[in-house]
Amino acid sequence: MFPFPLNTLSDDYRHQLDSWTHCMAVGDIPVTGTESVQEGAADGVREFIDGNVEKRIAKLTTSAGCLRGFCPAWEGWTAEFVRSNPPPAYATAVSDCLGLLRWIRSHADLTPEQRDALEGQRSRLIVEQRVRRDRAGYLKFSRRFRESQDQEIRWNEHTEILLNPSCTPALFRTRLFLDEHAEIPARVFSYAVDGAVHTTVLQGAAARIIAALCPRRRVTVESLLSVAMHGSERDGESDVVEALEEVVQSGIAALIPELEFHSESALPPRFP
Amino acid sequence: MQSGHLPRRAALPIPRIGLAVREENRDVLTAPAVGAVEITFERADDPLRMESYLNPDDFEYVSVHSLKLSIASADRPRRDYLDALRSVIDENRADAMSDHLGFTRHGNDGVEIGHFAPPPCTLGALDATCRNVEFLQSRFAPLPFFVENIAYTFQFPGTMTEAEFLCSLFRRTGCGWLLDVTNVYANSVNFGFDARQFIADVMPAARRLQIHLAGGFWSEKAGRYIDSHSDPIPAEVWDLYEFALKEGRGKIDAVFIERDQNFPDDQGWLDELAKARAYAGGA
Repeated sequence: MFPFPLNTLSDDYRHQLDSWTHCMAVGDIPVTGTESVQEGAADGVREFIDGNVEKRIAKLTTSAGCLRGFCPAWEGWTAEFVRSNPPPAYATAVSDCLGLLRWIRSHADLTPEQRDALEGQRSRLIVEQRVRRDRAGYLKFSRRFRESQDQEIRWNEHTEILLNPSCTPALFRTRLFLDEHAEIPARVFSYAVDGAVHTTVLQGAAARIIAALCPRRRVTVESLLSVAMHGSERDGESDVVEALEEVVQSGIAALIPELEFHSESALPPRFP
Repeated sequence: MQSGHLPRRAALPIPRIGLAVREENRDVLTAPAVGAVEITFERADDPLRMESYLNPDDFEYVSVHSLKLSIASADRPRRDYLDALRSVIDENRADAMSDHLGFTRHGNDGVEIGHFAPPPCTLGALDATCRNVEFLQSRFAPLPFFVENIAYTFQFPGTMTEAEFLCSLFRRTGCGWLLDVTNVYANSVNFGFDARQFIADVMPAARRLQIHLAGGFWSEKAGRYIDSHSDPIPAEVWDLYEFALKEGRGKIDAVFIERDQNFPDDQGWLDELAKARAYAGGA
């Protein structure tokens, strides 16, 4: 029995569950063994936990198996992670996989390219996690995105720009996923829109627009331009306009139509 | 005007007969024979999905069936899980929700064991389960909540029978019973009790019911009936279903056929639906 006093039935039950779940989560018979289950039922417990570890590894492989090509030791890392880390309560395939990636980064000696591969996958999984936490925001943004695909983008300096709520930045330090002309380190953005997760590299004015959007998530074109055109790396107005259209068309950001257009609005927009 | 009484069965509503939704039976879901559908929350919980899992306009009764509320845990389910569950319920305009009598984890910061284990039939477990069910009923009101009896491969020692535990749970919380007929059959075979007596004992305590039907197989190797949802519903389960229909007459909201392996063709689904409906008096 337990080596400490139990005050209430609920306390007793809580401690029982604590003990049993920790054992079964890693594929063991509860520590108290057959004393905790009815006589002769240990086989039933084995049957209950049999295959759980394999199922977990299969889910992890589904979520991040794409990394195997970059990491020859992937299977070994996954097996060690599963053996030493019971799945946390409410673990989903995504959250468990994020735990695995954290574990690998802290336990394995990774090459810079492997770090980029893990970083890219991590940002995509975080996107899925963010969408799950704010599905309403994701659906609303995706509807905006669909609408914007069907019409000409019209805006002026008072138009507000909304960052995709799932947008997750990452930094690539090698050219593993980049072409030979890309600057490194490169700012990479993963985001979900209209049923899919995308990852894109933004550089120049587009990267500065998203960097300006990130802290506030929603700004006017006017304030965005003041940052993009008056920072240390100045962009020309046409560069900014082009970059803004790029991020809107890709689904990283959206224009908010409710507040659109002063009566004098026209294309191209007039900026200070 | 003709005098006399209508047969009792005809005077009472016939349960809606339907399917637990799987990708493999999507083509038959809109057949007239399908009067109800059960959505497994964990299958529908794809946050990237742009549309609802089902078009709720196609069905007269939708129930959302979750796997990880872990109602026998000592702690309440965590808010983010409940929020995601709420999204699926709302998007599919569910009429009811359900989960299993079991625990899948300990604590909200503890560990997960993958699938539901049977709680010990003790007062401590009963208190915890009742607290969780009352919390869920309050949070999701007015949606009715049903608790499913599970098939188990072992039991922890307890101070009451499973039937007594379920009766106390239903009486204290007023929640419904998702009577998984196949689970009762499997447990009765594997643990040597009278399945009909079990149903007769629990039925008076349940205000409303849903029913699950499925087919498993007898494993010589394991020496037990395996509730695998892999086979046609066996004759013994149909018999027990007929008994449950009589015992629960007038308070059964829906019947769902489950299948997770060795899927039948469209006609196979429809044949089992027709049989379930015929037993319920709706042929």
